[in-house]
Amino acid sequence: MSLIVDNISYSYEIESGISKNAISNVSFTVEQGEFIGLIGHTGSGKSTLIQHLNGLIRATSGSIYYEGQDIYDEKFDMKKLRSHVGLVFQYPEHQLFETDIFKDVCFGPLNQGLSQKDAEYRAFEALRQVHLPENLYYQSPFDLSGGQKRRVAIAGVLAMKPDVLILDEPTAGLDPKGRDEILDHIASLREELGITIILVSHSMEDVAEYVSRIMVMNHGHLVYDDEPKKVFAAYQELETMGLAAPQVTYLMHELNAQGISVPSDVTTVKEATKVLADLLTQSEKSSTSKR
Amino acid sequence: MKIIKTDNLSFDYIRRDEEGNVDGIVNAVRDVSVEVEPGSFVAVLGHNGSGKSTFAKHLNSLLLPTEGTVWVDGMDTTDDEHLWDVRKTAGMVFQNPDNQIIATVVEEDVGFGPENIGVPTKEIWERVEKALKSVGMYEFRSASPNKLSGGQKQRVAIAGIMAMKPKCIVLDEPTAMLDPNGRKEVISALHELNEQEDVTVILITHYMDEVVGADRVIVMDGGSVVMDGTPREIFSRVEELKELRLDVPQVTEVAWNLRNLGYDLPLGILTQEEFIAAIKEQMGLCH
Repeated sequence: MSLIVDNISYSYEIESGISKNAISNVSFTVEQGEFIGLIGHTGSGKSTLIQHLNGLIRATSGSIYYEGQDIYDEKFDMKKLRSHVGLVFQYPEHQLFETDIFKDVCFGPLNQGLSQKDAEYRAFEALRQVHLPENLYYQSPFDLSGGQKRRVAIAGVLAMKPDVLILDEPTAGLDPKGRDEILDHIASLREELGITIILVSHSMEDVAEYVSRIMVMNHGHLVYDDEPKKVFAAYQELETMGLAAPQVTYLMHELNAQGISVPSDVTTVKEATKVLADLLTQSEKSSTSKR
Repeated sequence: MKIIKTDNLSFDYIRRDEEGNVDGIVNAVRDVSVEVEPGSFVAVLGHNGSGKSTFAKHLNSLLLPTEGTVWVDGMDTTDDEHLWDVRKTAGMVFQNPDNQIIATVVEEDVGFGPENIGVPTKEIWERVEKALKSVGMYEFRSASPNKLSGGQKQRVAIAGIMAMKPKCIVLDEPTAMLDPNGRKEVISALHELNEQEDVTVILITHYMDEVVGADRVIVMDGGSVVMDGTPREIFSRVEELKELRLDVPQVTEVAWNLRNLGYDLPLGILTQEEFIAAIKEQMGLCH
């Protein structure tokens, strides 16, 4: 799988004759198996951007290549692209509609033209991948908890066997444990199936914990595209864009500002614990040696 | 008088099959007895399905108790005569601002509530002005709500409640859909309302860092109140919180990890300042 986004812009008319750019000159490349976090304030163009990646929105200018093929080429099969690039919208559980969970997950593969038997096999596989207990398969999706519903909705997309899975704020409204569970599942899907993940999130802590690359959108422009440590090092710039760094990153900067020297590129609780444990051990040693 | 008082509040959702026969009963809230002081800032935590939202909906008569009683500013919420007074006293703000905004201009949206209860026009405009100023949205009064960011929309929704002159605002995950800036805006607007207008705030949230500034934290599980205390007391119980599918702020967690590694940091560190002071103390830098 390779996805190349080449200088795309998307504009829409707000009043007759006046148009506005939702996306301006965005270029990037996605490789197989990457785990990418996409962040940006509300209205920064994140959602518009991801809808370009499976052809739901057509760029006003620029090109997108999937496996080397121009997706705007007349001969390109857009329907096929949509099964390769799966999109899980915000609050996907609102899109559950069937009478039982199993039927709901079968809907996608059946729509792709698979036989009933193959679709059922796919649904079974996908529900297993999201770790939904088997005794729930034939229950109404509306009887599930928030986190379970969301996993069923993700299974509905997984059943189409996408190469790229894009999730728009998959943890919104979930309790902390539910957040961790969904993100752990997503991370393990990537490891087990080798699929590419693009995670749209407002939680800097979650992004820091899981992804290996962060893209930052601001007013329709892609302003950062780098590894998390480098992006969060620019925390002051992120703040001007309505974003932030994880709380532990701020803690490290403040310790430095108060004369306690620690690495400032820490982005997770685990790293912070280690760095500070080392710091305290060292200070104990030096105070013992002074005595 | 307590602004909110519940006495053995229980609520059952009754599930019915297609023929209308009772299919099952879910005890969403069980035996909850709490009292809330006027002017306090109370955060309510609990995992999805713990009964927080069901509890909150009892505070302005959206739901009525199956058993027990709820009083809002001394009024029994089941008392038909006081229904509108209860709702004026305790206003509710929900998760999605887009579902709560109905007008095409910000100030008209905020004026909708008072207009609905027959407030004279001149007073409506006074209330709208005051409400928008109280959440820092006055400069956007003539804007179209759909041009606003999530945090701004949510503050407009809060202004819409403020225009009803409530004594208490109940917010059910008001920041769940917002970006980091939007979250900050909403939480600081709530603290300002609480301090300056003396409005009681009851905030349901899944974000632990929003709880730090509250006077009191109530934790729910299985429909019951399982913890009730100050943020420091609650966030000292890291393991119990994790068992309840909850979490603690990042600095609290780092401090707790360090304690478990044998360093003598105090329990229940809530802020960066407290954390740095504790580290300095450990390093012998404290003078």
